[in-house]
Amino acid sequence: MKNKWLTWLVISLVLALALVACQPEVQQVEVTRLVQETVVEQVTRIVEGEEVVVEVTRVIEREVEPTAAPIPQGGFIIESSFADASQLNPILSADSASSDVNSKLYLGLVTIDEVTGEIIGEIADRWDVSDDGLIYTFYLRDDLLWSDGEPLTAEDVKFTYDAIASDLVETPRKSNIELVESMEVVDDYTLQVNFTDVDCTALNNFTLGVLPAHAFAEDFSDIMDSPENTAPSVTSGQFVFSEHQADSFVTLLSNPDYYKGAPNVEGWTYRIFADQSAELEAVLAGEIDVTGVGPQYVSVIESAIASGDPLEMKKFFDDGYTYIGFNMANPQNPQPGWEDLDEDGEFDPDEPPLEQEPHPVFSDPAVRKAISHAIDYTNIINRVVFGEGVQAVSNVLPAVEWAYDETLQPYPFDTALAAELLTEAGWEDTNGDGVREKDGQQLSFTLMTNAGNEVRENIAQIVKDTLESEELGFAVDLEIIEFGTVVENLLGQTYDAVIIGWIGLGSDPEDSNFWAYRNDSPGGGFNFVSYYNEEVEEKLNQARSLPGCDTGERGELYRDIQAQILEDAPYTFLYVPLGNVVWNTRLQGIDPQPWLTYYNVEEWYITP
Amino acid sequence: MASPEAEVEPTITLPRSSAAEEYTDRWGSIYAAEPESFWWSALRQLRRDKLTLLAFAVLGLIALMAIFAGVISEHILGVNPNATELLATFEGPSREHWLGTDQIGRDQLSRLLYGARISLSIGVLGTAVAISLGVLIGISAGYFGGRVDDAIMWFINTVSSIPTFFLLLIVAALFRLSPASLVLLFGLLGWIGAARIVRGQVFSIKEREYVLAARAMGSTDFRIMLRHILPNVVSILIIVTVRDIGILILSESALSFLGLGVQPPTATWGSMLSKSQQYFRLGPHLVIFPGLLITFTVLSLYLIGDGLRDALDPRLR
Amino acid sequence: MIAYLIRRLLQAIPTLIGITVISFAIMQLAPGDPIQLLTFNPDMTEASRTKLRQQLCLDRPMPEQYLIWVLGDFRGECAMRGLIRGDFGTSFYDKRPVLEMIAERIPATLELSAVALAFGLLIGLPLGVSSAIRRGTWFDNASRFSAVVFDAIPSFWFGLILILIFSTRLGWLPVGGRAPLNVADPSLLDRLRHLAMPALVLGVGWLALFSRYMRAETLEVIGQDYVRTARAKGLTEWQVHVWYTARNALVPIATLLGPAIAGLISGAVVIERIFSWPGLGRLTFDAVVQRDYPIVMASVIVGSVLVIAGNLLSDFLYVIIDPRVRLE
Repeated sequence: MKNKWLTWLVISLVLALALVACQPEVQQVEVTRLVQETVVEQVTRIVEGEEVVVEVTRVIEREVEPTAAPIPQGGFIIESSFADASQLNPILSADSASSDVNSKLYLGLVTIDEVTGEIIGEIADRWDVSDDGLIYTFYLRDDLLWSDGEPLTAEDVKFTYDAIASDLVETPRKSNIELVESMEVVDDYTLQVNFTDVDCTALNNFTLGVLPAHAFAEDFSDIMDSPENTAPSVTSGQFVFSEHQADSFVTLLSNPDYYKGAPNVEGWTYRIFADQSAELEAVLAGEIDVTGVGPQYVSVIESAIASGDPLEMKKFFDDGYTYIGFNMANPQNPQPGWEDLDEDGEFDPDEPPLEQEPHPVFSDPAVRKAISHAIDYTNIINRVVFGEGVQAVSNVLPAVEWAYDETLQPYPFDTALAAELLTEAGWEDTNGDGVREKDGQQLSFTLMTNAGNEVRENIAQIVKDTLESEELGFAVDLEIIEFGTVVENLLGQTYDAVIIGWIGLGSDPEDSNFWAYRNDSPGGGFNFVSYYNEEVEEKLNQARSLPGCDTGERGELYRDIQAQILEDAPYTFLYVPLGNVVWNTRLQGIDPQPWLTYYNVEEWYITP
Repeated sequence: MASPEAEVEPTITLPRSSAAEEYTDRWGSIYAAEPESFWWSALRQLRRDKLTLLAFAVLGLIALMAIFAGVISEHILGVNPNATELLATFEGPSREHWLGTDQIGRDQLSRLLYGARISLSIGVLGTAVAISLGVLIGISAGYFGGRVDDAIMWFINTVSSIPTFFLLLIVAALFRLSPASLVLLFGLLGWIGAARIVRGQVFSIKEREYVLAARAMGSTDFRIMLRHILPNVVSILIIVTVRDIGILILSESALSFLGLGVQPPTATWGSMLSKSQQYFRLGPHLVIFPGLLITFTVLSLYLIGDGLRDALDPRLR
Repeated sequence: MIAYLIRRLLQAIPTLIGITVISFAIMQLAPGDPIQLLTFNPDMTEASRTKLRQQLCLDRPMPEQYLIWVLGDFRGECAMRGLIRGDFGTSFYDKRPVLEMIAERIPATLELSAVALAFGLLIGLPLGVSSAIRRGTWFDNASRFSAVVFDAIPSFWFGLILILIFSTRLGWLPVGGRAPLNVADPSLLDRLRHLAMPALVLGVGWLALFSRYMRAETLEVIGQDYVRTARAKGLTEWQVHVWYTARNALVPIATLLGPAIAGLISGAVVIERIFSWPGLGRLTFDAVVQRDYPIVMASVIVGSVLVIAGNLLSDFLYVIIDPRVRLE
């Protein structure tokens, strides 16, 4: 008995230490308690041949079951943000602030796994896919309630996606249902979705929050201007809406009917700041429970933690990357990437790619490669991005393990090699003005980036300084301009080179938007570098609609694609940023994961 | 005080107080008669004003440093203001970098010196454009009167009713601003105060005998304006100008804070200060020095403006 | 009196028309297509863009767009009822009526401006009078100098320094926001704690102006006949200052109120950002950056209306205070 107790103690101590060591924020360490009791026992002894009952008093030690201390209830989680959340209809919202709030109000048909980013069920408990990959049958949970007590059924899901399809509804989500032919409600908790084409990213399109059909007009006529869009009264997520003060805060209250159990906290408040420095001070002053900070503030938070501030921080890779994009077509004459045979201005599937008029500088792959070699990635990431990122190699994110080729080597930083590439390609400074030229064309270009993004501005200035060195002999004009104008020049394809980034790429590597010639459409398409490579084009299409969507096979295709894109160098890939979650330790139970922070918010609590 | 109608037209040039409105309704043309002795006594008054003299000295020093920014950077500091050095970011003041380095390893002092050129030029030229426009429009309105005056006053009332900083920020955000276009923008938004002053003066002077006499003797309108009306408003305009330069420097920094000022790689004090604001805890020297320079410069301008007013306003002697 | 005010109101009409023309013109001259920016999203189809453009009447010729904006679309092809019927349009981004969004922000801006103005007046005016009375003393010099110093600091820098001292270091005042979060009925003290720093930074420039102005006016009034008379009548020095000097010196201050309101609304753009104050300035700035044209145009108009109202108020006060002005 004694031994057993000792073992328990040791185990609990080790456990406690281990927990403290790796996760100091966990307070509730259950240590087995030992209680001393005085017991009076009746013992039968044999005394001189007779059985005698004697009373013996002794002290024993007894192990008792730990009684868990009750988890504190109530209080508000205060999250700080930089943008106001104004559109609380999940099928209309496009900004990240609104999506943040909506994810706490509405359940999706499916959601993403917080650790792997894979699609997992939420409203849908499970689903089947037909052999040809064209019919998905979703089996829904039958225990879900709207906050007004109505059950959440397949009708709600169908209503939501039919609304997106409706002509009365203007939403950027229309592409989510591009390949959906029809949705059929089999019964209250079974939904069948028919696709026109195999799409391996199909499930990613069903993470949107599902609307309560009974709170909107059946014919979708009020979707665009329903009061539910700003003050939703019927929701299904962890919280219910309480109040929104424009540019100040959004407050949600915990939903007692949440299917995983009501959150411990009374509510959640999204506090909106307008100035980054002020936001940081609010975090340091303890006014904020959870937030994310910019890379320049990470060391400030780290030293605050080191000096005993009650803060914690966890870092994750963002699902995006920052890059220098090169316009490979003539910016004086932007053309669509396809031959517009029927002259309707729109791409039709039978229209072949059109060879673009070349860009005077960037149509030469040697120039693009030289720039890729000229960038001091390590120090840019360490100094300008404050170490909060890793070098990006090509277009697939390292987090997407099944598709990422970890053997692929990025362009090494080698100024001499860069200069050699230029010279070999015929770019030489023949007139002694410090700038190389070839056939009368100066090696000069305009580098554009958006004002207000300090990291990009700084990278732009370093790139200019680097490329203008005597050895490399470029002439670079900086255009640090307001985002709207950057977008206009980008989409209009009237720029030379740009420093910009993609974010929110998700856990599927499908990104033909950026590379397919059908998306090389001045004014609207996202292949604004005018990239075209027959092999990449084909493999992108294959990988997107591979019957069975086997990740092994798709992974092979994406590995080929990323190698080819790296070789073609339409972008100089810079880095994948590290994001972070910072929280005040009065908030407990929080356990941020790479893809989601709030997945277990019902377990969070605030220590008094 | 004259009748309220003419005087209560409020004026505002830029976000904070502009000097212009202070003087609109307070200046007669008292000293039109004896300009010589007027300027002489003003100078005497100014020489007794220690604070103003100190402000002149500070401003002069800053202006000299701006003018010789190139020489100082190259020969005394031995640095290039645009050379980045990734391995030397956020360094504190040292022998090589007297005021330390910035977020991408550039020498802060030489950037401040070059920035002084841009900041001061924006202030001075912007005010110059504003005052010239104001004088031109004010004289036209006052001299021609009638329809011309009505149209100009309508325009003045309209523009001055729009919160100026709203206009400034809208235009700055929608159009790309170079230092030159910022000068033009400040000029286009800032002329109203001066125009009002000048118009008021012209109205009060134009019926005077010497102007009537000049006209009778066949002087052209242009000549009359140049010879008789302009000198009367010069002293008010000097004061307005000095303060407005300060206000423009502050406005430029406020625009930079909003991310709408002059864009890199051109450095202004305002853009340096607002960009480094976020690095306060990584490199306090990047926030303190540009902030102090702006404050000292604007303070000097304001003090000079006050001193000049004391010296030039005969009623306060 | 009433006739005078009505005349002033009527005079504001051409001004308002001018304001609508100017704000419309700026938006038209601005480079770039707002729809393109609005739909910087790989998922948006070209057809949606065209449709959006039609809905917003952006496919019409420019003069027609102006008339639709001001008077409304009589043909009912795009949903705009016109400024004159109180329809300031719908936000490109929030899809909400612009007037409603502005109405939400006005109280915050007015509250901040009013407190800043009160701060400027309550400290600036007495400071100016005392300076004038003690002209040339150390007090005079110190008060003039300190007022100018605070006016010369870039306001966003000043704001951040205050936050560093009073919020992070001392923990006395909240970093920003208009009221404590999740408190149903904040006390006056709570509101003042939130107002303290922004109102100080916004008001300090006006404090300087008011005290400078008051000083000059007082100096001028002190030398005038009726003050000498009052003194001769045996009133004490302070009575003279309070009843005669100050009152007469206040007259031109009244004319400053209009410009002060314009200046406060302008200055609020920066202050509201540093202190996360949910006002008109922030709405305008965000809208400008996002190119949410309906909001930008509407806030220019609303801001101008506030200024015009301030000017009217100023005229009105002027008439009331100035004993020498009589109205027929």
